[in-house]
Amino acid sequence: MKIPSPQRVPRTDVDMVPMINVAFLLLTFFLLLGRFGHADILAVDPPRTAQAASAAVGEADVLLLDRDGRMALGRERIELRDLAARATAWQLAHPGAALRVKADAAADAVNLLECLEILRDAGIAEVRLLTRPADRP
Amino acid sequence: MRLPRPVRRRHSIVLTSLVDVMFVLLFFFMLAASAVERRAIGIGMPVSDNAGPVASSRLELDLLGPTQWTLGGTPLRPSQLRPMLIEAAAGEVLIRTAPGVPVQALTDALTAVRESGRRLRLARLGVP
Repeated sequence: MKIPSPQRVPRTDVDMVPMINVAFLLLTFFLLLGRFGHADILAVDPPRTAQAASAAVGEADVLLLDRDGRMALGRERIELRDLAARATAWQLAHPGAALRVKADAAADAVNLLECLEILRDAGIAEVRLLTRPADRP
Repeated sequence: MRLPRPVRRRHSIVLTSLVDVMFVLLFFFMLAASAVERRAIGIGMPVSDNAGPVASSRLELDLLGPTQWTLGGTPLRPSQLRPMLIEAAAGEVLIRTAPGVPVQALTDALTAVRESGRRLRLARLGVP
């Protein structure tokens, strides 16, 4: 006598292995590619350059200058009249260091030069202007 | 007599928790990471009143508007600056900027002068 074997219940679970592979790939991509930092307290769209040295990331102190002439040093809004005192304090805290300036591409360059004159008088010897790569055609 | 085989139970690892955590991490890094590359160019400090002697072979580049530039009094388009700097005699370049010129135009001029390997100085037009 032949006893019928029990009917196999078809598997209904989805094979998740390929999805996990892709998700891990994306996770690794964003882990390696991404750079972390504070969002700027002023909206600044820096000028574009075709060729320039890459800037070190992670340093907190950047002088921001937006298109309306407002400025901030690090995470704090400052006025132009306070810049000399703040720059002197920064220079004493970071002797010999280059201050990074992030100015909006549409800001008046004369405002930037005015800031640079104050920084120069405060004893800051080197300033680096942050830019971003030009869009490729 | 043939007896039915006992049904084998699959001992698979439950991946749901792993997938949940991984997606949380993935969304976190997607939203928090910035892929924008940042660059920096060194800029010469503005000329001071006691800046010392003026170089004998100094070129004066005046930025009168976003695209209205003159080099030694000769009008030029921004795209002409680089070849003109290559042709001109060696020496430092003084970039004088008029009010209303955007930072982008100044950056373009700075980049061209830097690439020519010349010493660079900055000043405001009309300010000694």
